[in-house]
Amino acid sequence: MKRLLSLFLALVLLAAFAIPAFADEEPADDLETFPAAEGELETLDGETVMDDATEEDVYIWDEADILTDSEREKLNELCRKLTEEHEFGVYIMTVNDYSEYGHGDVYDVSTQIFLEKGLGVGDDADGIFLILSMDERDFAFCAHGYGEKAITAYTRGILEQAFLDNFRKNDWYGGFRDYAETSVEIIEDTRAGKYDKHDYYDDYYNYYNYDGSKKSLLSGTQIAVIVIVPLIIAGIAILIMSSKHRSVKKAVTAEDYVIPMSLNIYNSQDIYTHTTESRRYISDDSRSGGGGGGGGGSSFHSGGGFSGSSGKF
Amino acid sequence: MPSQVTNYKCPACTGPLHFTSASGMLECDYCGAHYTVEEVERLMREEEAKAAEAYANAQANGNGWDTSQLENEWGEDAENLRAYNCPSCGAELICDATTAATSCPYCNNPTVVPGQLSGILKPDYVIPFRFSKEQALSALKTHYKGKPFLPKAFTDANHIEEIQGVYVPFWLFDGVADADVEFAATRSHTRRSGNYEITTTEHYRILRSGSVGFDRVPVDASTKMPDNHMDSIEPYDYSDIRDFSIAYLPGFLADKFDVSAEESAPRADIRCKNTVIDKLRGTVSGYSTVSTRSENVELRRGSVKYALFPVWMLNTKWKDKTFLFAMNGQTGKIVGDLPISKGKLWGTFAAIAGSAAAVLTALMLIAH
Repeated sequence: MKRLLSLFLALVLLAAFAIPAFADEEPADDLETFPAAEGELETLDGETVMDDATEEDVYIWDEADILTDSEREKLNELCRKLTEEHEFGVYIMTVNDYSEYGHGDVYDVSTQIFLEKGLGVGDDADGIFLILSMDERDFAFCAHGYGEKAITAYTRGILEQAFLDNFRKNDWYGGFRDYAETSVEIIEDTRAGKYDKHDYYDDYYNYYNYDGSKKSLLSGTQIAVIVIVPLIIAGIAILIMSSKHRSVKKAVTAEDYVIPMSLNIYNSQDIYTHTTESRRYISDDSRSGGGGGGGGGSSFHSGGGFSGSSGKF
Repeated sequence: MPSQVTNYKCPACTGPLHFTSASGMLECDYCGAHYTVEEVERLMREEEAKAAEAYANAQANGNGWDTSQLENEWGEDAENLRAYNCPSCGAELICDATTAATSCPYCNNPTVVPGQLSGILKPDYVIPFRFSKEQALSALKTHYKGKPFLPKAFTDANHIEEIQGVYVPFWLFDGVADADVEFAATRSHTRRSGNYEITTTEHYRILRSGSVGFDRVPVDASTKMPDNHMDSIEPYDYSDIRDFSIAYLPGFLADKFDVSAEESAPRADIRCKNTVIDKLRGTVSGYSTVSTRSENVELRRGSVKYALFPVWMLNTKWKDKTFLFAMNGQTGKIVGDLPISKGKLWGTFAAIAGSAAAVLTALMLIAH
């Protein structure tokens, strides 16, 4: 009997060790399985980095550990309160390297996390999710449900201007607070029709600079063009018109007195001598015409049920 | 009254120089330049020396202009001609016995005086006036049109009745220009390779040799007549050129040459040289750039003829400045620089610049 019991226990132990071994053979990069289970967030190398999303009152995941416990609690409470009052989920996450949490750029990763964590409120999963990736100082936020409608090319600028100034000064708590409060303000203002005059793709940065200052109607370059080009045009026109007053000039040829058919060419040689080659470097910037990525700029994203923005802070 | 008037041309514009007692200098009415008497005399001596040297060299090489045919004298025609002198600019004018000179066509001096017909040369050719005085007046009015900056007061105050028909003396040079010209030419291609724009340039040495013949290249032979005016009313249509006869003179004045064929020849030489080079340059095609590397032109100078060509002249003053207009009496081509109203010029400039700025501003705001 003891032998049978020992054999049974041995088989149980063997089976217990065998199950994880099979689990390790599952592909780790399948996005459909990310994270491994509901409530867990797993990095691409399979490491589970947090497991507290199952708690309904968690709105902030500070994986980069840039907030104090007190700040985290205050922010979480703020987000919870705003979410409940406005029926619109407001979420925050900090990581060191966003690429460990999904594929694509930081905005793609933010939408993947939003879906994987099942964020949002109501049937349409209304909500907005902000992620900071500290290594390269990337940020992205994505909005879903009613947030997709509310976060347009214009309002994303309003939201960015609310928090970017704080983040640029490493004021994480202030930046997240402003983000949360401004997000729901935008939602309410959109519901009230405040931004109806702007269509979905009317870019905020057509009106404001990246530092938040209002753009002048015309840039310095444009003003210079407006001043200089007309002077050049007027100068050329005046020269042409003035030349009509000058009809006296010295003759330099005697073309009119060439005897017809008297041109006699008796030697005509075109001799190739050598070839030279010159190279001119063309920067990518000059080809693409620039972009909104670096240097304080940001890019508006939309599609796939989300709208949002990404950039540097 | 001086028995001999020495006429100096402005070194800058070839207009006549006049001595101004106030400044003690010789001043040009056309371009406003002024020179001391010493400066002008030195420049004239240098020019004469150069012309004499060039002529001597050409003659020594057996390549000078053939002036052997310029021996015709007036003969019996002299009896039917009158001569006038202008005490102001020194012009020597001739006309037939039925025509009286009332003012100098060059300086507008109204007191021309009868003089003695002198000089040995009788013109070989003449081109008759085809345009009347009325047509010349009409052409001058037309000349004023389309000049946006012409002061209205200039048109209003103009004494266009003073227009005069003058037969201006010209030397006509025949010849052939031979040239060897070397050009440097390139042909470029541009392609893209990665982030580089690569321009490949093929270099060529272009050699051209050829000759061009010239028929009666005209050079005016009067110091009173600004050379540029006479150049500008060209060309003359030689299909209507006639052997000279005083029958063409009645009603018109004729100026007697005071620049010799030898002195005038360099102007013809330069025009012939430039023409043959242009002709050879015209045979070089298919290149991105062409520049002249070297040129060697030899002139085979031919005969020289003396001719009188018809010119309607207007010499008028406005705001103490002289404006000379000349019209080709055969073709009707009229030339003459016109004054510019600074007010109109700057007003137009401001209007154009302002309009362009407004349009640009509007375009940029729309694009904003």
